[in-house]
Amino acid sequence: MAGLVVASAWRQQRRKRVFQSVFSGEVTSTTTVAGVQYPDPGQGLGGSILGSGAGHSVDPYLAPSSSATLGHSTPEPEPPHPYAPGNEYAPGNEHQRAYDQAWEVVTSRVALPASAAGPAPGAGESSPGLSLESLTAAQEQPQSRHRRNQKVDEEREQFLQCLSLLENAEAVLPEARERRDVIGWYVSQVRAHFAMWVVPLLAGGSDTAAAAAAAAAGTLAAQGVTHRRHQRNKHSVDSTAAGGGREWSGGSQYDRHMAVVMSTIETLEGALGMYFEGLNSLLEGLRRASGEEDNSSFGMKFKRDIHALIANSASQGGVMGSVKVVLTKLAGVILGVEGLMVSLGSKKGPWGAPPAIPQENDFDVLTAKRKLGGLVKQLHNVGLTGERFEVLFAEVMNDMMSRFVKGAYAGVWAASDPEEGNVVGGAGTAAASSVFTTSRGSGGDTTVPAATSACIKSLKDWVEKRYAQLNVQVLSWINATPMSLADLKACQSLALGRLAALRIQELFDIVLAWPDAKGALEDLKATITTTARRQLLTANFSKALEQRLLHPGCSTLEILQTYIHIIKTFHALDHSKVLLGNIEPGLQLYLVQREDSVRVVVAGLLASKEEIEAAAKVQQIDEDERLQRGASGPRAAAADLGRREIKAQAYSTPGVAGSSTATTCKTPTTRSRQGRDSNPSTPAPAPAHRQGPVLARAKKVNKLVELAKLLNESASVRRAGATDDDQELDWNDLNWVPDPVDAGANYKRPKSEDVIGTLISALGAEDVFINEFTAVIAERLLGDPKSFEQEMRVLNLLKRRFGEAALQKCDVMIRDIQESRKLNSKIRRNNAGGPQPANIPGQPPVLATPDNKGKSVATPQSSEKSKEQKDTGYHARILSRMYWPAFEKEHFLLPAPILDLQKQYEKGYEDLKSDRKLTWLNQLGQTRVELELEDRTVTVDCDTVQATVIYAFQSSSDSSTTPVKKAVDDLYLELQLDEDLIAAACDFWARKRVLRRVSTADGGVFVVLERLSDENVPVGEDAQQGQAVEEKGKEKEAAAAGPKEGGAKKLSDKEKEKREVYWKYIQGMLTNSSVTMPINQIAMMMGVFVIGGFSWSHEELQSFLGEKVEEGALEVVSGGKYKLVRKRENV
Amino acid sequence: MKVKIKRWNAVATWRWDLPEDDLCGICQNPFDNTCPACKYPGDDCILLSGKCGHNFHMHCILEWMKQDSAKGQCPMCRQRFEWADQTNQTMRDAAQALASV
Repeated sequence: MAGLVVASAWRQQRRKRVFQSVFSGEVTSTTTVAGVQYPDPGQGLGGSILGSGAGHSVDPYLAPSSSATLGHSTPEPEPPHPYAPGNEYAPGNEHQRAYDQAWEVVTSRVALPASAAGPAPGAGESSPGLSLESLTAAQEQPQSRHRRNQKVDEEREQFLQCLSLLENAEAVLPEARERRDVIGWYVSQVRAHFAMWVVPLLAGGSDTAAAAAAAAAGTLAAQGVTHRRHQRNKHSVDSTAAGGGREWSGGSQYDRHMAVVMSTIETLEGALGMYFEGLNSLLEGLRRASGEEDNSSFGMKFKRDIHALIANSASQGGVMGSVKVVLTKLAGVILGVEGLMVSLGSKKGPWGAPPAIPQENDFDVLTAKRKLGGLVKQLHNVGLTGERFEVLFAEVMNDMMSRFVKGAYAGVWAASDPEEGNVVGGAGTAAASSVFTTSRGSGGDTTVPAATSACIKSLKDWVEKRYAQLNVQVLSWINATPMSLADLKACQSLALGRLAALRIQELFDIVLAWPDAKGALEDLKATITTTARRQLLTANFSKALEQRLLHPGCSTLEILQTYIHIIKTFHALDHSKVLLGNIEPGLQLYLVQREDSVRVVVAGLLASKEEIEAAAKVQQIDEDERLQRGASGPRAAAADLGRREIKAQAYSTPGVAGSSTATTCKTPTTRSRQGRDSNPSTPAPAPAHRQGPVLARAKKVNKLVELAKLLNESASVRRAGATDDDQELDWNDLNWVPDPVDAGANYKRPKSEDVIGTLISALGAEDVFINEFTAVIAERLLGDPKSFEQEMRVLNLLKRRFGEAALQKCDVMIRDIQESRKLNSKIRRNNAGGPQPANIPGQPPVLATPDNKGKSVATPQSSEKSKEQKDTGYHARILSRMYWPAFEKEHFLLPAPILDLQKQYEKGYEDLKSDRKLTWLNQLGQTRVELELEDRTVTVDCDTVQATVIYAFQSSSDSSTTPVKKAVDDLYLELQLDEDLIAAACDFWARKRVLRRVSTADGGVFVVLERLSDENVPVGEDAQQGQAVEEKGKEKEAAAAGPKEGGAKKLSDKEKEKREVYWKYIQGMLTNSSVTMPINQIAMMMGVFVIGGFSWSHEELQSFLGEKVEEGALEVVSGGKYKLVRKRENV
Repeated sequence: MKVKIKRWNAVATWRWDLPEDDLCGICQNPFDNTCPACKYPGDDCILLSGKCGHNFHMHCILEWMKQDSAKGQCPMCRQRFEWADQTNQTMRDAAQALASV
């Protein structure tokens, strides 16, 4: 037992050595173990091997097909081996014995060794008991044959004799009843051998063999390397050189796979050599024996079968995977795709020209091509280029095309430039041995639209000169059906399809880059020729929109700006607007939800000329910068300084009033920061995804000035175009094309891109827009405009669109303002010419107001007052109330002199316009006040409420040194103005450092800050000094939080009213309908009963009810139901 | 502190000084609005008050008076329509126009 183990271990070792000497790397434990398990060739070839071979999991195909494919009547139970024990002969059957002996000689001669290839020279010697094996081994190895030439000759003679004996057994040995078919036996031998030795090698190719090959590479020199090994090593060196020292992992992976492929080829070549040698000697012997000549056809058939066998086995192993890797790599180099992939990561600006593709004469390309040629031919020789290979190659080429299109054209959106078309084709033209050069001349190129853009041109060139050529070559190497001209066309249109897909993917970025990406649009325009692609485009773009634009992170301005770009881009893409119409609904739906979208559009329309110019300047600068960067001329640095200045000016120009100043201030800082960046104007295409809109914001001023610009530009154009819309068809239009297939039923071809029209229609109904426009105009007209030129112009332009009637309100408003100006001067003249207004008889003293400033009745002061009144420029704007938005009348008492002036004005007005009365809207309007403080004079423009409040703080007399101090509650009594407004105004003045809050009592106490140095001095006269100090910190916080708090706390009158009404309803419900109610039912009932609809959300109602519970008016009973607390009624 | 108000831009709305009814009986537009033919309210589209106490847009009542069936009567009360106020120049013009009908 122990001896047996030792023996088998020894044998195993020996085998390993044998294998290693030939395939130093490839011997795996699987094969050696297999070698132990199965009998050696001389002894046990036959049924047992085939049985195990057929049972081999790798080869289910082998067993059943063995007879069918080879067409030989292989005996079902394999012939028993002659030496097998228990094989008894009938006594005296000499014929049978002779037959068996001959059989043994023949079979042992052509028997196959127990390895994938023949054993190494001398290996047979070490096993004396297996002389037959060494004999066959000698056959396989030419060297050993030479060494034992004389012995071989003898054996060969014997073999031939035996073979002829077997062949002619019928005649010579008639008694031998058990006869066998030598060829059939051999074929089954081959199959068994293949299944047992070669298949595992093929199967293990990808992992173990690859690892082994890689490991072996280092130890090759020590092991006595074969020539082919050298060759292989050189291959890998070449390939790394071709890779240009790229990332190691990729290169080495390729090397590993290359090693796998090469070793597989070697194995197969070895095995095939072996098989054919045996077969040939058999066939030769048979030929000699029978004297026939026609059995060479069987050799061909055998070859075909064995190739099929190899192809089938390989398909399941990892070899094809390796082949794919190698093919991908080589084809990548040849087609120039590899280089693209590298350059993609490193550089390439978004609008650069298509990158240079390595020419076909490059060293790398030529090397790769040669290598590929060798490889494919070898694969073909060993039968690995079957259908499977063709499919694989097609896969690789398909992948190549995708990668090329992506690598070469992603982000390349430059507008077409005639010179760029030569980037690929130019240098290669001379060397272009393209089979299809004729196709360039053939004008009838119907499948592919005329190549207009650089990308399309270069892509078609590439397909024709590189891609198709490689295809043709490889196909010719493997003797497959050659490529036809139609195939080339198909390839080209396929490539264009890929380009279209790429552009569709990029479309959102292209839109953002408008108008710089016109080249990309041309690509797209030329390639979206099918309905499927158009649908893909709209679907993709809509998705991109949702993901990248229509989310809360984007401001309405950004969305609208992008929308304008979308309109322009899609108009350029598809004049019919069908595509645009398909993507619009989602966008429009979203825009309608945005409350401020109409406002932004209107504000954009009303952007002043200065703003437009500023925006244009900024854009111009950007453009210059980019060009400069592109050229990177030496002057760039020098010019940089100057440009920065211009830009600063450009940004300071837009005089945007009021709330928007904050944003205006922000813009220049963003810009200047961006300007300082090394590369502000070339945003990389890939990371621009999320930044896109943000970038747009930084680039533009804070208004949609594009609209104003468009409005100005298009005014004349549309007038001309307006008549065209009605015409049926222009018979002279040579560019006429039919309506797109995906157009709707009521489709009407629009003439112009009409950005404004599209935008306005996107914002909902026309009247919504007009109402909003009216509101904005009203606001601007009341905002003390110097002139309303811009408003007038926009109004006129809008009138053309919407008609006079729709915008009549605006007309009236503008006229009101104009009339008011005339009226102002008229009334002033009248008043000045007439009697002193202050002395109008019967006029009550104005000072009856609670104004306690002591503008007392004394005559000198009165005259002083009238002088003061003259200083005050009093203007009024008289509005036609039906035409302006409804203004709430806010009641409060104006400063006395103003009230006086107001009365004068009113009188003057009523004198001029009989039968008309005025209603003053005191809270509207602007004032300018000059505040004379002890150490300074402040002039502030503010609104009327603020002016009134500060006027109340006026010192009662000049002599008084104590600063005036007032509480909000006092002011409320004094001015009869809403406390919240007073508090807000006080905060306003506190921010202006005119007032100072000293206490929070009584709604806040404020004191005039006569000297700035007093700012930090606590108010000391009163007893609450300490308290004041203590409170100071809090006050500051309160002051900071003040305005906000006030805003939140302040419930508008309407809201209060609403709450009252709703409370009545709820009370009624809980009294009459049901004593307890859950909130859902209350909400439902409210929805039914409240006139004009119940506007509260569930949450609002809940919080309201919660308030009432806190107040004690309601209580919550079981099940979360509400119930009225009936304390009074019960008492 | 002394406060000087340098400038004061006030805002007001005008309305016809009428006792109550605010719709023109003929065109059913508010008086402060225009008659259907006019564009601008106020001076361009004044009111005419009849002695009967009914007011109309001037253009409306003139149009009414032109019709034979009107017989010079107030459309509201069927009394003879006479304008109340002749001090105003425009009113006088209007009255003359009315008389010529």
